[in-house]
Amino acid sequence: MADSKAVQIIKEDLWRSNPVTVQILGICSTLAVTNIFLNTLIMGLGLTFVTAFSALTISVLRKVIPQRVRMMVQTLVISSFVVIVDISLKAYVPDISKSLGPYVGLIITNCIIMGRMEAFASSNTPGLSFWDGLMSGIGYSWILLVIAFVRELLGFGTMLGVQIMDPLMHSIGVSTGWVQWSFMIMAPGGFFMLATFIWISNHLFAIRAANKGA
Amino acid sequence: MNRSVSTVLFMMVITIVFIAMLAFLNGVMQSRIQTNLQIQESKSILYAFGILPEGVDESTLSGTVTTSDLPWNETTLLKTIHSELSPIAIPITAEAKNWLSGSMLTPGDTLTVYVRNAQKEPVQAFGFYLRGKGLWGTIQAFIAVNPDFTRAIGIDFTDQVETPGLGARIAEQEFKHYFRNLDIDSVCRSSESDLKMVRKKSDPNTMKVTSELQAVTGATQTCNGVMNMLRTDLKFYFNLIQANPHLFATKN
Repeated sequence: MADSKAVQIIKEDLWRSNPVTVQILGICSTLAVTNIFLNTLIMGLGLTFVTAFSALTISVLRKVIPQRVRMMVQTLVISSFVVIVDISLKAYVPDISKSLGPYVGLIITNCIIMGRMEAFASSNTPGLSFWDGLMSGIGYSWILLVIAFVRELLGFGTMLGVQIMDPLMHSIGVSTGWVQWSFMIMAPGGFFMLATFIWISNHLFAIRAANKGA
Repeated sequence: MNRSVSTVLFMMVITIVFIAMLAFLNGVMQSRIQTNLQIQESKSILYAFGILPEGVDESTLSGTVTTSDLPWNETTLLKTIHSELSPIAIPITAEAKNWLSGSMLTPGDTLTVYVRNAQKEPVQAFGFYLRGKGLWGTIQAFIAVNPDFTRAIGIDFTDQVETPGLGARIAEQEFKHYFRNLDIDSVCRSSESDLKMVRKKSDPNTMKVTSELQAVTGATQTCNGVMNMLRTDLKFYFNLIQANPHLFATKN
């Protein structure tokens, strides 16, 4: 029973009820950090850590938390884990901490985390809640990473800081090299990519629904 | 026990537990964070003065390189900063405070200026912190200038919370290298400064001296913040150092 629920969670969080493409949550950071792949990766890891461990903590405490202060407790737990991520980044990867700027602190306001605490962790066992938090974080991260891959590649011509497009252009005879798509670096590029992604996923859902109906 | 009292007690206990956990973690990591900050600050100061790690040729650095990418050995870094530069505290008088009009600098009784005057030579360069307003918050930079305040030697942005990938790119080599040999004469000596940001600058100022910098695409407000910071703070430091020549007299 628990196994099948765990598999169900994977399917829901990674695709069918993906927090970004279906629930349209966490959009602020999706637009802000996805122009650089490495920043996106760290942001995704940070959010996954916070969601998973906050869910675990809330689930462990769910029977002793008074109902009327449950959201205050959830905020306290989430912000504590965000501070842990922030301090750890400053201590071990200070450059990335610096380049992510205010967005690490803003993980606290990410609706995905609060949503999972309220909808799942406060009424499920610690193991399943941790799994749900982990999968929600991964569901958020993989969408962001795909968007970041396209934005950094077209915007800067690089991947993880390594120039890719320039040598590629020269190798196919384009002497001017890669002309950077500035649009992709800016926030409208994020909107464009996200909308494209949502359109593709909705299209796939529609095809699947049509096939089931046939 | 009354339900309200137990709820309040629960909140107090859980808050204390989490705060204690964070305080412990902060205590454990604080020395590491402080060391990182000190290393980063030293790298920034030396970069602004044009002092790079041995074997690094600035002209070959990629445009996306930031100061933290420079391959300094920690011991050499701290040794270099102590041997090459001397911090000098300048007292801030009431008159000096009047020169701060429009600036975001908030000095106490003194302000520190770094002087490059190794081997008891006359001053070769001055370096100091600037503060300005960016899009999301305060921008802090360290700039080095020549002794007569006509050319910038270099700049590094030591603290900023601008948009990653846009305004935050002021910290990259692509933007900063135009500060090398930038003409700042008009900023310090006339009421109308010639300093300007251009969309596309063909030559760096090390090849042809101008008072132009190349703007960062999509970061107009950040660039304007940098320009305002340069205009107000450079003039302030120029006046401050001119008013205290005795502090920088050649040591014999």
